[in-house]
Amino acid sequence: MAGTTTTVVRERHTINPLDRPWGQWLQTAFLIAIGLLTLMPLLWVISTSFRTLRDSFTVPPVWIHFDFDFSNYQSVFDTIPFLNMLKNSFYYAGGAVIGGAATSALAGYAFARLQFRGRGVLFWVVLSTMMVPGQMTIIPVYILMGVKYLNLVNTIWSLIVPSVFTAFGIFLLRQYFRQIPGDYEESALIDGANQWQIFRRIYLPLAAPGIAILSILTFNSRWNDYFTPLVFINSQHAMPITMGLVELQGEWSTGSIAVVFAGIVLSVIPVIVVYIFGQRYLLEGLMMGGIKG
Amino acid sequence: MKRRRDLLAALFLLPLFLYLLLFVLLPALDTLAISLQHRVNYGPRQFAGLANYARLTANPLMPSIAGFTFLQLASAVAITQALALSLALGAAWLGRRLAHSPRTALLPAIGIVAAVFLYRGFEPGFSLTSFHLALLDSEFLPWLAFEERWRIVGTMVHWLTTLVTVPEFAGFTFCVYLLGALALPRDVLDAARVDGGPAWRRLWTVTLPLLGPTILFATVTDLLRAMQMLDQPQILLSDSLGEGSSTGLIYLIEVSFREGLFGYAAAIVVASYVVVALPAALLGNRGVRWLGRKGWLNPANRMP
Repeated sequence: MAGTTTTVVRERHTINPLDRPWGQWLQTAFLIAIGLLTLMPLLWVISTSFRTLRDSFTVPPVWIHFDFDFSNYQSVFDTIPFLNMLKNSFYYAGGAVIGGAATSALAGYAFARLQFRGRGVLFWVVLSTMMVPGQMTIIPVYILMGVKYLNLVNTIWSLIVPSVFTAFGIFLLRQYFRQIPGDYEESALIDGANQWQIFRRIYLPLAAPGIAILSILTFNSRWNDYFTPLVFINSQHAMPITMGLVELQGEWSTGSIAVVFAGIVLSVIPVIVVYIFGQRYLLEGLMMGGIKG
Repeated sequence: MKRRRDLLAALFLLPLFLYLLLFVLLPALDTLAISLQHRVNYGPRQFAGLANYARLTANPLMPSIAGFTFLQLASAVAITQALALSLALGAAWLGRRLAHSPRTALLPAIGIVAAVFLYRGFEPGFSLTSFHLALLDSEFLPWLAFEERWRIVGTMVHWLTTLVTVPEFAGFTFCVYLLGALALPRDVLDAARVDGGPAWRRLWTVTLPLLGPTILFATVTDLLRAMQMLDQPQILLSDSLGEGSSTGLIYLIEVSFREGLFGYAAAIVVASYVVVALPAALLGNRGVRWLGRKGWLNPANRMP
């Protein structure tokens, strides 16, 4: 290669500080700090639930208390019909999950896979209902649920029926159905399947992770709901657990805060169980959303 | 063939639209109609014109309730957006740095843990809510008289409700922003980096305009959620700070479901929706467009 000029390209290998070993430790420490910050309130609730009323608020705060007092948990069961309220919350959250999954799956599939006139406009109508807050409809729905019409006030159905539809659920499942390749549908059509069979036997099982995410989110939001029960329920036999926690505070907030915290710890357990069983789907859903936009 | 497809879609969508009609669209219109009527409980409807709205403006409590609610909404939503957006951008940046590390999975996990536990943790009676009660406890501030402690609670109550709202909202909003930030097109971000300029400028002119629709969605959603927030304010305001320190929703429940004044309550709902939600959506939309005009995504603003 006589006569040619050789240019030496010097590559600058710059190592980002975060790639160095101490940088890795820093990142791990950051993640642990966020995790602790997140868990701290829950740990404090658990810690306080085992204290006597006198020890509930100490200055400075004591995080770990060795003198456990289990009587607060007993008081929860003595003060309110806790198991009945837990059952009501399960019915309410479970009913909303089943109803929400059914309507959202059907509508999500139609918006994602079926070609029909006005699809875009109808989908826009569904999404625009996200901008309608609950109080905008609560008075007419209360009248509809009242003795003159459906007569469902003070029953658990008055909570389940208005909470079946979620625009967010339809949007979520539509995205899921859109991600599933259309080849399945074509093959099934050649095999002689109709649209219902294609939905029921092919697309619905494939959208199971999406339905799981929706179910977990719906379960959590309904389990925590306080507004709807406050409007529709005023007898203790139909109250869900959120109202029970407020009952634990007593008239003019004179109840023991340690008992309230014990009630919160007990009511959190189902949510944690749902989270433990469903976290894989939640993570997959979030990652998928992040990667595919 | 077209007709058959439409019919098929109608069958799939029938449950949804029956439900929408019965429990969302017709009730929303009915609220508007009820607001123009005299209606007490299940009694007969009588057209009242704008009388309910006139009563609303004449109510001496209304300025303080509206002011309190506005302050509550504005501070809670603004702080939530700032906190969740900065956390999400930081997490997304860290996620890109840890792209091939198993620890990447920790980021959404943290987001979900934050969403679930913070949402769940700040239930009625919890933490800062209880701090409010503790302030009234004679053992907490023993040197102050009860009346003095009650006065402190009164002055702190707005910030306490904001403080309990922000962590509850931040989890979900963080997830929304994290998804938006992770889905930002890498090629655009890389191109902006090559174009040069400090990091804050790239954030302002590239990242935020790209996240514009996400910011709009999260802000309006949080605003509507904040409007519906009931449990924390109700417990913090606990019957005794006077009706003027109430939020719009608490007052609405009092007027509608305790006193049965459906017409007047419907007027409160419509007025609060018009005053808060619609301008927020319009302003948010303008804000997103403004970011698009001023940002790097507009070719006119790029370096030659």
